[in-house]
Amino acid sequence: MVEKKRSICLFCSLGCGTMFRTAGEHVLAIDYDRDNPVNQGSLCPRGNYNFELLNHPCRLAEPQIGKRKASWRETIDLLRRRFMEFDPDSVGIVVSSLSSNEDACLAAKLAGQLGTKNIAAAADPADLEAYAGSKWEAEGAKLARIEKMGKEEALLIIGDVLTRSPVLAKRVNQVKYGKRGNRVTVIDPNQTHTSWFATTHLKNQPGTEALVLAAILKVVSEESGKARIDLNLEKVSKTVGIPQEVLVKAARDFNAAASGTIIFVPRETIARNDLCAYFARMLASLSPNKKYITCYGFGNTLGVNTILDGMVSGHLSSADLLKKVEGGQLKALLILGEDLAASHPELEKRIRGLELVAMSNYFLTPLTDDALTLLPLASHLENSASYTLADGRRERIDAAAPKVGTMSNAEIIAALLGDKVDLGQADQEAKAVVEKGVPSDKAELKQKLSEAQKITARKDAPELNITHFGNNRLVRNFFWYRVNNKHG
Amino acid sequence: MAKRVYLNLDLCCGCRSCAAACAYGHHVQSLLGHARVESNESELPLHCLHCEEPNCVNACPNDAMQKQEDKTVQRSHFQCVGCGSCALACPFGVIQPDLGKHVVPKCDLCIDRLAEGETPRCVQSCTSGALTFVEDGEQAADDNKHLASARILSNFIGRRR
Repeated sequence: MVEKKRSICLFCSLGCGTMFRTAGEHVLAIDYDRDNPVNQGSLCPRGNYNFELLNHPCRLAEPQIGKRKASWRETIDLLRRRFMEFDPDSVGIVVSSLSSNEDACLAAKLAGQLGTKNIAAAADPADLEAYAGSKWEAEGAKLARIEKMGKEEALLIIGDVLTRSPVLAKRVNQVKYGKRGNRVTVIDPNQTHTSWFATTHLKNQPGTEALVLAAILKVVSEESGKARIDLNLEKVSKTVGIPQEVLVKAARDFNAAASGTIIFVPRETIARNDLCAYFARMLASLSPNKKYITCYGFGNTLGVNTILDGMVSGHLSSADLLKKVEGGQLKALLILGEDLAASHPELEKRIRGLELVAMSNYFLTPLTDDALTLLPLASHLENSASYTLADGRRERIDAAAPKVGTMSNAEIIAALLGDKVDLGQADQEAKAVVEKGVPSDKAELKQKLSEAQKITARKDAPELNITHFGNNRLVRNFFWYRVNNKHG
Repeated sequence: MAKRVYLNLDLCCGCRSCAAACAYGHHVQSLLGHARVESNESELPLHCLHCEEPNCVNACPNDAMQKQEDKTVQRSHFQCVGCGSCALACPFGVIQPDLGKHVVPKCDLCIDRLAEGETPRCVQSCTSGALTFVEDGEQAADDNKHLASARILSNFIGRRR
């Protein structure tokens, strides 16, 4: 009996709906969830990969202590015993951004019980920087809802959104071809997939995106008369390498549009992602009827960070935690759902030197060593949990397939805490924290602008120039044939 | 009239999700020919047109390619010897032989999904709405009216603004 089961994809923060055809505990094929308001069934290559993740032959099914396979009970007993031995300051916890809200909530509780503040979310450093910037106070800035995008008149895209989240291409096309006069403005130093859809491509010097946004902010604030901004546009246009009149026209067009969305994609090539995120939000608050959205690399970046900030006050930032690992101040490390040795190869030696390392992961890691305890992790498809996505919506999904020998992060932590934890209650707590939100940090626009003016163009940034097929002879002939000849 | 897959070049963003969906639907063997364009960095799908008088059927030495009653051209898995004659015969270059695996991947319009009344995987998975599955005549007429002139103009200028 073939059943269709709904799930979502977490390989970027859009959270597209997917479906799986299952028979009993077997997953037969991937299917497309047409009724999902976010993606209407379309999936990018990574979304299609979900199916392979479920059926991958290399998925771990048994815990390993060192190089020896062990039972779950033995592993958990060992970890419970040994984690208590260490001084609280020398224990660290890293939570992956693919984890669910419950995972983050329980990890925060575990940190509370161990008495440590060394807990941080692991994600793309650029994403974490952008998240830090998005906490700064910007009155009246509203998050855009993905299902409502596509009807606005203007888009301002910072970065290459169609490489990170290709499913937004439908919405970008809807705006571009929807009505005469609609604007799609792209700020990117490179010729990318996204810039091909731009009506205005602001090709700035690499790394100076924050400064371009500051200039746009200045023009918009002059138009609306809400705030006064001191910024020398001439100097800025020289630094970013865009003529002043082009910048001013792009800003005025965006401000004049009846509705619009600012899409920000954090990248490591951008000099100050936090300033970019902050200016994008300020732009959304100053310009009438505009909204913003930040496309993070991992599904639950927003949720995990918000919950950790809300539940563990004064916890370390990810960069500081990694510095502590590098400096040798930690003795034990619990890594939930992330292969730190793969994402930070320079730390591999340090992690090997720790006294106790426990890591939950889908696959084997190159780190396998006597000190390492490896826990097979259930993916988001085998796990009933809730997630907070880029547009702030909360998705609760049910397992598409049963777990085979694996455990979710939440169950691992519950076992470590002593089997007294109710997962449903953790979910409710996480929901409350996310709804309440994190108190925003104080920020002064003037100070941030002066920080932005210190940005200079990066010289080491790689140049990308994607040739689009639109001007290719082979394709043109092919297309010509199709339109003008009857076939089939 | 039969339904066919159409590609609107104006909308395609080159994400290759069609290829991925095709591969996961056909046992990790993508049946979709992809034109590699100059710098290998952007691709677009080349679908089999399922011609009325298919050259590939005439060229096949083992009668593996057959025109079916539902007007699609299908390849028999068991009769194909992977010689690649059909790839040479195809005037559109949409058949690309996989020499490593000794088979010739060829678009089957996802017959299993069509039987259920669904669209082919590439069309369903398309992120930008560039691929559509419509009646044969419809799209051509629509294209001529709305998009063709603008698109050809934009092609000749060499940019799409």
